[in-house]
Amino acid sequence: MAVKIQLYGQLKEITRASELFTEATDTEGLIREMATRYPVLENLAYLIAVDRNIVQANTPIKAGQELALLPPYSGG
Amino acid sequence: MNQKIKNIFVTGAISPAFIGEKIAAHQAKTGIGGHSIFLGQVRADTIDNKQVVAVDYTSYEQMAMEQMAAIREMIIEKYSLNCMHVYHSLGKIKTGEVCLFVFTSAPHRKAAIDACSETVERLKAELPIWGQEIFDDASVQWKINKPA
Repeated sequence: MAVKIQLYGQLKEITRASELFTEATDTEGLIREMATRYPVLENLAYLIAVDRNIVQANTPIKAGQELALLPPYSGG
Repeated sequence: MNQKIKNIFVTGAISPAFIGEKIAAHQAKTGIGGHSIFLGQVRADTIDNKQVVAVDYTSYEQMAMEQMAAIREMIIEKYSLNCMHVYHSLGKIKTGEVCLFVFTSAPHRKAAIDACSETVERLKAELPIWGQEIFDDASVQWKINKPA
């Protein structure tokens, strides 16, 4: 089942969307899917947040989770 | 998460009047011996002969507020602060305007100053906030935070 991904900062511009849907079942799969759909992402380091916490290790994606892709921060 | 989630976001620039009101509100807290304040101001950088005229800030707001609540709880405890307030602008902020206001208060100066400094460094590194620089020819570029 498709899970919604929120996009922020320059990822919104690259994808021309503020959200996308993925069928990936884990975060590594999501990274591969994004790189295939948007080859330019190979040159952009971004973080993945699951339920508003950054995940570094490969993490299963489940329906109902809040997923977001976060480009490098530039607040302050 | 048990921390109290505070809204740190302000739409538009942070005005000198707002900062003054926040200072005044602390006069009743007589256990305080020192405040430290950091104000971030939008700088008119020149890049490739184009000048920055504004920065447009956006955020993953709920996550940023939750992350800030965790930082806040940790810093208040570490430095035994009386209190801490953080405000960050969203939207288009012109050069010369204030976009970040960090305000720490403690019984003595060193704790207030060190807490303020650590809070600024951590929020720049850890909060999901993005600034897009707008140039005088209307072109744009995503800002990247550099170490202090």
